[in-house]
Amino acid sequence: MKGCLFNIDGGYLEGLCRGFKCGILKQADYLNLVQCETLEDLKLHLQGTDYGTFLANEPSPLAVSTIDDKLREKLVIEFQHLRNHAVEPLSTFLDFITYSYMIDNIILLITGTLHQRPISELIPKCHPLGSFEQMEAIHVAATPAELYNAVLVDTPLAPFFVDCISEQDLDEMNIEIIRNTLYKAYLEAFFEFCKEIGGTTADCMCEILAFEADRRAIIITINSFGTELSKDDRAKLYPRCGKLNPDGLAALARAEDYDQVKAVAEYYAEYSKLFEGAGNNPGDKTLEDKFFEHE
Amino acid sequence: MAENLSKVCSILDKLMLETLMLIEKYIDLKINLETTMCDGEAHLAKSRYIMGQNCVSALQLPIKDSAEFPAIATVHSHDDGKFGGKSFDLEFEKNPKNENGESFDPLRWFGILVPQDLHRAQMKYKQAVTWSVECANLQMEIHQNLVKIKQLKDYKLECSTNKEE
Repeated sequence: MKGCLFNIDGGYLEGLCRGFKCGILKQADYLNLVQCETLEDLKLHLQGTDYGTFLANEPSPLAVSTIDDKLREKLVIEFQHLRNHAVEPLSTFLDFITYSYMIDNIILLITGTLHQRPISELIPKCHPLGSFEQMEAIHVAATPAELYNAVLVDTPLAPFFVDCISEQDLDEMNIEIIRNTLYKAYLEAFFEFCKEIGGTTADCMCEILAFEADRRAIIITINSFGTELSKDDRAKLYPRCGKLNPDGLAALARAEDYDQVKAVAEYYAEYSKLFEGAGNNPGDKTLEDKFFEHE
Repeated sequence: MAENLSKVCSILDKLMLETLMLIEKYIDLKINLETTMCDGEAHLAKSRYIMGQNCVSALQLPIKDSAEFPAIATVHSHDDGKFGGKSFDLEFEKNPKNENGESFDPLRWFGILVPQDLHRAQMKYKQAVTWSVECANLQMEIHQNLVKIKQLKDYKLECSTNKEE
């Protein structure tokens, strides 16, 4: 009896996903693409991959932004298809993936409004995976409290916004704090969700999310040197679901320069490796490069 | 007369040599300027890669309806008198403040916690501004030398014509 229920929820989507995974570009594809001299060459080479004739209807001359949009459109269509066929808990998992794009879109819209850009110019720049119905109403908000009450309270991001509500005007410092606080709440919620599901999901995802949390804590610390962000404010932005919690984060909060941050990372084997060889000279890999590679 | 002519010739020689040296310096400065601009652009592209292409783009730049902001660098020009030349002087504002009295840094248009690459791009572009002012100064000097050379050549021609008479 159990046999007929096996894979009933995820079988089709797992098959699709494996197909997509095989279609991801490999080293050989990239070597071919690197040889291209023009964008038309690039289009020709991409036709031989899983991307196929996605640029077939585009008039020449091709622009980089067109290629970017079309590549992203393919990803979005595949993701939407997966999401439409998903049931719990996969549907919540896929929704969690879209929340990070929603946060980026919200910040883009608020910053654009702060610089007096019309909303019609900003909406096309938003990432399609992170779009939500109330996006167009963001420009009416002048303070975080208004932003919450008018726009975000009906979105899935409402529970993440609890720590950000204040009556101060939206300026660059507040926007940065909102961005990082939202992301912290989102990462911690995602971590708890994956842990609750347990099994392979918890094993894979918790490690990935822990690395992401630690990466953000280190990068926030390094980028905050020389800015007006105080150490206490900075400490409030660190996500607490990583390996650095609680001692590493406390040490990072006290750090005052790059060398002190490096010293904190020395206590954790995988992070100390990333600091070796990262430098500021031209031709050196930066710390962000090392983090990308490790990811 | 012959004495005058030989004096004029030697001054002309010196001026020509000086102009050639100035041209060489000018070319070196232009190469420096180009390298610095390329480095700045590379750092800017890196920041775009790190932060995402919509976070470092024309969307963050102010448009004509935005609030006024102060200049970080001012160029002062001084007249040099004799041959109608000018010299230029660059001054960087130590603590630029906007209308509300708050300190102003164009880097804040892109956020508070920006990657180090964006800071480096800003430094490279500031350096490039210094190089371009120096280029302008050199260009003025070369121009003045060319004017002097032309005047001396005319005088020399006049002298040679008078001598023949």
